[in-house]
Amino acid sequence: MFRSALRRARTALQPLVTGARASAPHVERRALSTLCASDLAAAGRVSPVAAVHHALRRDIHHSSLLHDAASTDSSEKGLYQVLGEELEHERSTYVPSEIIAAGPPAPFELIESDGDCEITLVRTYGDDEEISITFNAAEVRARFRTTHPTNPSASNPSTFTSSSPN
Amino acid sequence: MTTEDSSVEIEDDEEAALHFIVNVSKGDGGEMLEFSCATDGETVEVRNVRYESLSDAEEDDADLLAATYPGPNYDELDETVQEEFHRYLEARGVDHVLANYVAELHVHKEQTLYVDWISKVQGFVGAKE
Repeated sequence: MFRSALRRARTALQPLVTGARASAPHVERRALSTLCASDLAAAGRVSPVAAVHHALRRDIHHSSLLHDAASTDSSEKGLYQVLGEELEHERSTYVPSEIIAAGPPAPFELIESDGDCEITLVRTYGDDEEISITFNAAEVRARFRTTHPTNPSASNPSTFTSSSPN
Repeated sequence: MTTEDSSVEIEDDEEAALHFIVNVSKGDGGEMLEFSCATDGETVEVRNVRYESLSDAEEDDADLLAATYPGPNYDELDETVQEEFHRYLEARGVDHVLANYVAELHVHKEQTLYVDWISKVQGFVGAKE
């Protein structure tokens, strides 16, 4: 549900993006920061990701993932079940964008492996040029963690705070 | 907008930037240009350009990286040079269309990795229960 919450936050934040120039991924990355900042603020709520981390650390039979599902007694659930619900939710709700479905812009070819964060796009140009584009899918998340307000080793928590809408 | 607001906006933009590397190699990889780039999903921004040649690579890779010239401070390059580097990449398909795809692919891949992570962690904790 973290992903769904992120998408909801992206939708909510769309009008806040100045000039209407930002793409969906751009807004989603902003939403990621905003969602986590707002959820972790003093309102007493915990973000879904933080909830998973919390449950993993304590290995307790409790989850805060379902704050919005008031009818569910989360105290009765174990980590296995909560993760199962999250997995089912993500698999049933996520739909790749049309851009992804269309594949890379011709003549680029996509090279990736399951479970590997690195992605490469390759093509040839002219008689003897090889073009490759490489990036890491975990980059933003890693960066987010370095500014997480609950992370004791956060290098620059003020950056995270300042990006919060509060 | 106050100065503080401006700095927040810059931090937000930086936070949203996705970094990627463009390698252009010639002559069976004998020579290469490495472009360090960033995108917000709409535009491509070049941050650095490094030149490497195969003759340099005779040394150990780590030593090579430490020893070779990393290229000039890109922001200090003449604007005309920067514009031509941008056109050079555009001619090779590194343009706004690709930037959009890279950004979408990043989100998609991260989603795939996230689902895979949940599945593996669930399997791990389930095996213990």
